[in-house]
Amino acid sequence: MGDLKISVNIAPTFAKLIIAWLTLFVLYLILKKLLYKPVSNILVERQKKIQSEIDESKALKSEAEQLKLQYEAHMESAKEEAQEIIEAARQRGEELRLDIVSKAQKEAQEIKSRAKVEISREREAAFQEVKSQTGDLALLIASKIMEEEINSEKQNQLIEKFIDEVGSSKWQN
Amino acid sequence: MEIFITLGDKEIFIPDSIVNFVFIALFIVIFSAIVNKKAKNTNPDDVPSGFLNVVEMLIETINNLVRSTMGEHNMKFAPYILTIFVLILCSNLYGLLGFTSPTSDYSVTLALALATFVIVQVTGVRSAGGLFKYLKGFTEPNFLLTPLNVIGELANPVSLSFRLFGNILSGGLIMTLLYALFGYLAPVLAPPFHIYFDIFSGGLQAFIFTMLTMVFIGGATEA
Repeated sequence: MGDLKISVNIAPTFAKLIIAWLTLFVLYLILKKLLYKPVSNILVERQKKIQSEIDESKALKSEAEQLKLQYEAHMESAKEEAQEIIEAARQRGEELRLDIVSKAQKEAQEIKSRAKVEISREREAAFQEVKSQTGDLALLIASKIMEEEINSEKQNQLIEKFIDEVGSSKWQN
Repeated sequence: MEIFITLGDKEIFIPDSIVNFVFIALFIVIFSAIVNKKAKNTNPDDVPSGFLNVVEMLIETINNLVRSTMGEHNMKFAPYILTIFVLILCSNLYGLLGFTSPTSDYSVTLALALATFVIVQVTGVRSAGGLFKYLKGFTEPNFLLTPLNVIGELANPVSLSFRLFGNILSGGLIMTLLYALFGYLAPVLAPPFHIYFDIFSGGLQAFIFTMLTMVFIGGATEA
């Protein structure tokens, strides 16, 4: 083994203490100014920023939740309104239907009664005409028969006259 | 590297541990200057990235520790907590580079512990509302306990400094002895021990020192 040189500085001396203190003190001042403060500032500012962002997002979230509630309420009321509108339309439709049906029935009734009146009047008129024509015809037939019986000899003349009249311009007008 | 300063007929010896301590402090200053430049060019709105992220994580961890152990009203101590944590951690890990750890020099750990002690006392006096009221607190709950209270208060910096000093010094000593033992096999066999004595123990001791500092200062503000 080689020779071992170990020095142990156990006795404190004033000069060493002073130097160590000065070193510590100066290092403290420098570290405080150069290292601690700027880095702490960064940390504090970052913390503030993160905090403000968290606060902001919380506010936004609550706002969004409120908006969602509002929206849901709107949706609910809109649904109800739509239901009401549909109900009202259905009711109105029903009313219209009933109205139209009753009107149509009334009209049909009118038309029917008018037609009945017309028919009876027509029948009456036809009846009257038939009646009058029948009278004329009977009279004509009667007069013809009477004429024939009165003047048989003249029958031929009459026929011939009739045929002549048919042939003449008198019938052609 | 060791320095001799001659003042008149007095000669002051500055061992390499102290020189290393100042060197580490300088390194941290350069590092923080780079971080500072990056931090100023960074928009807080951007997604954090890169190596600034690690620094942010460190500072956030320190802030959270200070907040949970000392309370929101003691956040002004966070830069000091950050300073001693970074300084002690770097000093402890400095042994990995093959140099003497500054924290294996009792002067350094005593200076750190005394700085904490002074802060604790000043904070105690301030929060008690005057020196007399603060000193009166030592006689509670019974004036017979005053010597115990005083010893208990004075023991804090001693235990604080010797714990750190002893752990780092013993780690360094054991590593030196192990290197002598391993000889040519040292590059293969030494790393696990480095992991334990330098990284694990160094990190743990830095954390314990910082944690105890927070507890002491926090206790002083509550009293």
